[in-house]
Amino acid sequence: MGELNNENGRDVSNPGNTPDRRKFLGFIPFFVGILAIGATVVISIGEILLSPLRKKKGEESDGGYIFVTKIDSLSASDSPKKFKVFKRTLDAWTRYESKSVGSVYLKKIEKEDGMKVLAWNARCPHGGCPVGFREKQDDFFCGCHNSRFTNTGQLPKEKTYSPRPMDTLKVEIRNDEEVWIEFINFQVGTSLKKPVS
Amino acid sequence: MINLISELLREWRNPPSSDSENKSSLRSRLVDPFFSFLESTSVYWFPRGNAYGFCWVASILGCLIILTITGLGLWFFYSPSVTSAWESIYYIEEILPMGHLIRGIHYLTSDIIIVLTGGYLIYMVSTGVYRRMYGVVFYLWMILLGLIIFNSLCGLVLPWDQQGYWSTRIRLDIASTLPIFGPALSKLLSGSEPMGHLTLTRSTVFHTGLVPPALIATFLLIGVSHIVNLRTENEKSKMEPKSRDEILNLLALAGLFMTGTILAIFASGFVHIWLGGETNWGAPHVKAPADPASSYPIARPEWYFLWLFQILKYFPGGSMIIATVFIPGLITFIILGFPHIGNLKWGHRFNCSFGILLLFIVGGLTLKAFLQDKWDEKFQNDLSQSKKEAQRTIQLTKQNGGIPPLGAQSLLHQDPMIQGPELFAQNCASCHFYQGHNGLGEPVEDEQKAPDLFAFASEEWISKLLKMDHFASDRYFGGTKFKNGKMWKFLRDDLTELSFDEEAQLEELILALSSEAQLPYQDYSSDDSKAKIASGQEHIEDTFGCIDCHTYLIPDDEATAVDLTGYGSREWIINFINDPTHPKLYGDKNDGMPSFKNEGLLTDTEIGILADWIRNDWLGAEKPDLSFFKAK
Repeated sequence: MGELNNENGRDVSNPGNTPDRRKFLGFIPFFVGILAIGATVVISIGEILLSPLRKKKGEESDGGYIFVTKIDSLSASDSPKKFKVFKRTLDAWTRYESKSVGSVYLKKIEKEDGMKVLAWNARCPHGGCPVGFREKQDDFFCGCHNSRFTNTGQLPKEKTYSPRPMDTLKVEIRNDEEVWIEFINFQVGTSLKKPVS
Repeated sequence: MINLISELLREWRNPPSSDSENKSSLRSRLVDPFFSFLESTSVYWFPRGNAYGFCWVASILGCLIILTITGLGLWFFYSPSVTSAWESIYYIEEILPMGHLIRGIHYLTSDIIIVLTGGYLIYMVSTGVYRRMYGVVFYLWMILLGLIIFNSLCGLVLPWDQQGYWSTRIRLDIASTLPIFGPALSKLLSGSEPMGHLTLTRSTVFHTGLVPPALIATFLLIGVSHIVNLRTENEKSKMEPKSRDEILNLLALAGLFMTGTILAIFASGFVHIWLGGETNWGAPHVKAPADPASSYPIARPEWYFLWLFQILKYFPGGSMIIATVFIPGLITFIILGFPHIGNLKWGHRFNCSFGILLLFIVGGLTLKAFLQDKWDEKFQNDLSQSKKEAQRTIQLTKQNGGIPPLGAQSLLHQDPMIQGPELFAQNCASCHFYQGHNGLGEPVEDEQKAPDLFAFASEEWISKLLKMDHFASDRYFGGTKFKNGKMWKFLRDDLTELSFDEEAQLEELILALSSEAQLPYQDYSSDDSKAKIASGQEHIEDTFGCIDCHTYLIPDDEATAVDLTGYGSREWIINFINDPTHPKLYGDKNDGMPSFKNEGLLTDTEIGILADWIRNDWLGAEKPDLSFFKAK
């Protein structure tokens, strides 16, 4: 290195080696440039495209429970009744004070030791279509692929399309009259009841 | 036909009276060199033998150009967000001159290009060209078809209407059941869970920015491969350069195909319009805006995926993955193997039989899915309901002079005509009926426990109420404890066997009472009815002695029955739904009707909507068909 010729940086003692090194040095800015561009592409486009995979932050919740209705609107003699579920939601940049996030079926049951409320998510566990209740047949039925459930949301004896019974939801009765529900959407098409994250 | 066209073209090229001036014209400077170029390089462009493949590709190119141009045009007006996507499509369809045409062409061409690309694959397999040299080209065509379908699916969600929203939502749900990468794929495609603004921005980028360039690049690659293939093949077989006439023939044929494509686009437009009454896909018009909270049981995939939808029906329970992954995967795998299988002994026959079998099965399943819906009464009922909603949204928007900032949904949510039946079916129909059904036109199986509220407080409704038999019938108070109550006894004792004069007086009374409701479809303005109403009021007070129990006009604290002042008016109905146990109404005699407001069962807006709907009072309402009261 000490023998460098000042004129053009050529190592006179080893004439065959130096041009390679110079060539290599010349490539450094090229590689740096490529790396810089590559990094920009990966960071920006990658982040933008893959952002939905990130966990959402700052979703406030009241233990996940949502007020649906008052107990008076349910009667033990009625068939399951459908209610829309409203929730404070954020869609990207729009804040909805009260937006319907789905529907539930509620059914009141009288027992010796008091009454109980059953709740099902109205979304079909098969393909995600809305399930309807048929008064005449006294069953739940989804018109998309003809999935059928008994009037308690169970799979019927005969073969049906849904891989699992209708998704039950946790119910809490607050102040003796308010029906609160832990509203969760579950992944469809699987026999396991797995919440959609 | 083709010969005729090329004859014409030749004549145009060499007119009989050619003078020297024409020679230095545009033709000699541009057209002639162009043809010389084509002639000298014809080995690169044109196949030997039949040229249908060449022309077919020309048609697909034509479609791509049409899609790009119309797509760019639409892009100028499209706004991707949940409160502006449907709204901007409405603007394109209803306000923008020629917008409907441009969107219609874009929509239909996207169908035609799938048919053409699929058709070209069939052409390649049936003629065996895929075996010769088209290995890469065959795969490129598969990629092209995949990209076209993917882009079409991305485009479907953009209008943010019920059909687009729900079919996409179900598609994403199915995608999320794919093993390993399913949930991530579903999230990456939808942009947010649940679908929202980001789904639209993302789909817009896919549909307009990412996929079309990829599509065009694939198409160009196919073109380059074709040229390379043709050159080697043509040179190998020592093809003579094509003459000008042959080239003209080919170009004429290609032109014919392109024209045919355009004609097909318009023809399919007519087919769409013709099918439009029975399908919920295809017809390029404004559909009902997306409502994630609604039930939309009639969501169906596009026609080219209808067979997959149908297959799902044959795989119950946990075996769904066979229909969503294994079957489509296996079919794709075999088709991708076609060029290799084709080179084996019997391979080509296998490919052809497999292709034919597949076409039959797919066609059969598609037809079955289509016919099942066509003959399904419930499906057709829901479909026409959805169409009604679409038309209603447009009507409301026009009446409002535009869409409010919160989007078209906010108009629909306050509309008695659309929301009334829903609210009634959910909250009232367990006791009350409406014209014999639950409000939505669906029959009720339960016993009727409270009066039918169709045309409540109209002359017809009241005149039946005041007949003892009807009063005690299911249609009125037969299911309540009022069945044989005081009012019924009054009807039995004092209102049967009336004289001719008394009948006339009763008629005036009915008119007077009904006029309290001020129903929009009844006319009280003529002098004759004014006079009748005046005497009818007297009959309420004196002749028939209604005010012995009821309050009427003059406040009466000792009244024991329902207040008849403003009976059937918006305010009266709202008060009634709010709290029927109010002393002015049923008081403590109330028989099981909830106090909807006091118990927090309905909001003020909802109660107002119900009142308006029961009164048949909404924008563009027509007089209801009162023949319901004539029956029986």
